[in-house]
Amino acid sequence: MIPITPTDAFPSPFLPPKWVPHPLNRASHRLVNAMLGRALLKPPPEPRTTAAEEVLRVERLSVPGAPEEISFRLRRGEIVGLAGLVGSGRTSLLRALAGADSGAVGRLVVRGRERPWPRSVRSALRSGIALAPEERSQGLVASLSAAANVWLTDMAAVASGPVRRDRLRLRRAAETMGPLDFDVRRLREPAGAFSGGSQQKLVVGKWLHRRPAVLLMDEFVRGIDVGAKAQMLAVVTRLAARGMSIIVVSSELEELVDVADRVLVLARGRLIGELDGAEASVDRILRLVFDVEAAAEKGPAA
Amino acid sequence: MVRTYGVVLAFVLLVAVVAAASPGFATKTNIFNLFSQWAPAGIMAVAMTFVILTGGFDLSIANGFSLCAVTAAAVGRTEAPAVAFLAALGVGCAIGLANGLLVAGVRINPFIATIGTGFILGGITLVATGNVAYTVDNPGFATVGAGRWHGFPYSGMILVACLCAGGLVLARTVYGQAVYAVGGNAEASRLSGIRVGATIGSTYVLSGLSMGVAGSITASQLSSAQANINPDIVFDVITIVVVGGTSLTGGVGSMWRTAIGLGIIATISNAFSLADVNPSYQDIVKGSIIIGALALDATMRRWAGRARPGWATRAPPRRSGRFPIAGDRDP
Repeated sequence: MIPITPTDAFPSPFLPPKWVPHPLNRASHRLVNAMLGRALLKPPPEPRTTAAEEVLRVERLSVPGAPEEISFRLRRGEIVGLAGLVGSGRTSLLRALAGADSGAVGRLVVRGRERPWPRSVRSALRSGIALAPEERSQGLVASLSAAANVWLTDMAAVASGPVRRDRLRLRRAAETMGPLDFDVRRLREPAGAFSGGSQQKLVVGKWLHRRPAVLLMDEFVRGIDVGAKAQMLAVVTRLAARGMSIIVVSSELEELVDVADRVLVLARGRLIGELDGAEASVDRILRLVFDVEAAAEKGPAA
Repeated sequence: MVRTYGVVLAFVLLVAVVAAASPGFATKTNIFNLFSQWAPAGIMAVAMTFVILTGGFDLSIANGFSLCAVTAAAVGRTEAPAVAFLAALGVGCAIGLANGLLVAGVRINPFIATIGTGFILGGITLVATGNVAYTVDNPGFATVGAGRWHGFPYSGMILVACLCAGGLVLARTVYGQAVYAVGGNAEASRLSGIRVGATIGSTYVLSGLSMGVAGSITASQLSSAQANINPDIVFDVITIVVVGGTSLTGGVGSMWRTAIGLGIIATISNAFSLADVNPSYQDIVKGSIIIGALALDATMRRWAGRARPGWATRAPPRRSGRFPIAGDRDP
């Protein structure tokens, strides 16, 4: 995916003077740099080999409506992508893992400790699993201010007992959102008044201060402009580098493949493949998926 | 600015007009009497603000309030007034818990649930009293309701205290923030780890407690109580909250708006009484006010929605079917 829009070719002078690693594959970015006549973009970091400890293990997860049980693992600092067509069960899986939907059963081991399968969001949070939902309308309370939204996940931390400390909350929100290139001067405005990219940053940012062990990001780059997309991908990479494990879902497979260390491929509710960083490509994912889809089409007809 | 504070202007103009039209309005006695007269409704409006902010409704307050007043009077005949009022509070709390469990636990639509409990409470009160009034002879019982301090009624002080306490809780506490969050978007609040059920249920408990306080005051004011004291009070209370600008869909509003709403309704009511107008005309005017206030609210929200970017670009929310009350609707 070669960016040829003005946003990427002429970055705004107001952007901070640091290079945001752009998630292009290496050939494309060399082409772009050649076209522009200067090294605008740094090559993406080499794929990390994580020999870190296991932080999440899901065994025999049965999501209501899925035909098969799913098992997978996640290591500390690893970014795992969930790829699949719309309707393949990616969001259901994330929601089941985060306690957002009830009815799922399975074995869950977080940080080496066996936990009961989360039956509520609060239960999942106690286990260290947080969800940045698919729809921004589910991730933010539009009528509350951005600062309030950022600290909605931990209101007690910016309060003295039952009493809120709104100035402290504003300061802490600025600390959290500043590194995400969010305009901290606007933190007092209602969250509904921001653009899609800023709202997406809020949806993710509100979990950062709680430092979950596993952050689930559902459609984390949907409906946002290219610049914001690059920033979001940089955020994900940075978080993983600091030790957070992330499961990302995106219908934009190029982004998914570039940011993920490993890709789990889902089709019709089944886990049909696991591709390691080097071998993961949009091509292979689509081939896996369409093999299953074709077989399913032929099946009833045969 | 106009949208936010227009209602204050409306109130000031209203007071000016009424004071000019009826010389008896702007006297200390009349104003203090208004405080005493509207204390029960006002106190229930404080709690109703919490309920409406979470997107709910409590339509059981008329019968709940009667039951609490009857409890206070019944106990007050033999026990000390303090014990009687505590009993009324206890009954109110129980009513609130029942409503809260039905709405937040069983997830019944609050309209239906509270209409239902309202009927049940009305029946209980009739059965308990045999449709006869309980009177209290103890003069100490009447102090709270009828007593005054330099002319200002104790019941008015309780009203002001409740308004201030309620306002502080909404504006300054974590609980208040949870109320606004749940009312603004219940699903997003749930996904953020807020206890949505407890928040919604607790507002009904507050409403129940307010029934206890209001019932105690009324029983004390009249030194008696009976079933069906004021069946229309529920509409007065909801009008008070809504006229002030608190949105019925939840998530938007404040306690000062309820205070202004109380002032507006009390002033209009008083204007009619002073002018000696047929009470039926009051009902026509009250109904028109409710419709007018809601129409204005809806129109202003539409204008605000058109002007601001970002609202229109939200994807339709995915419903998990968990909390049908309030939540992810356009304000």
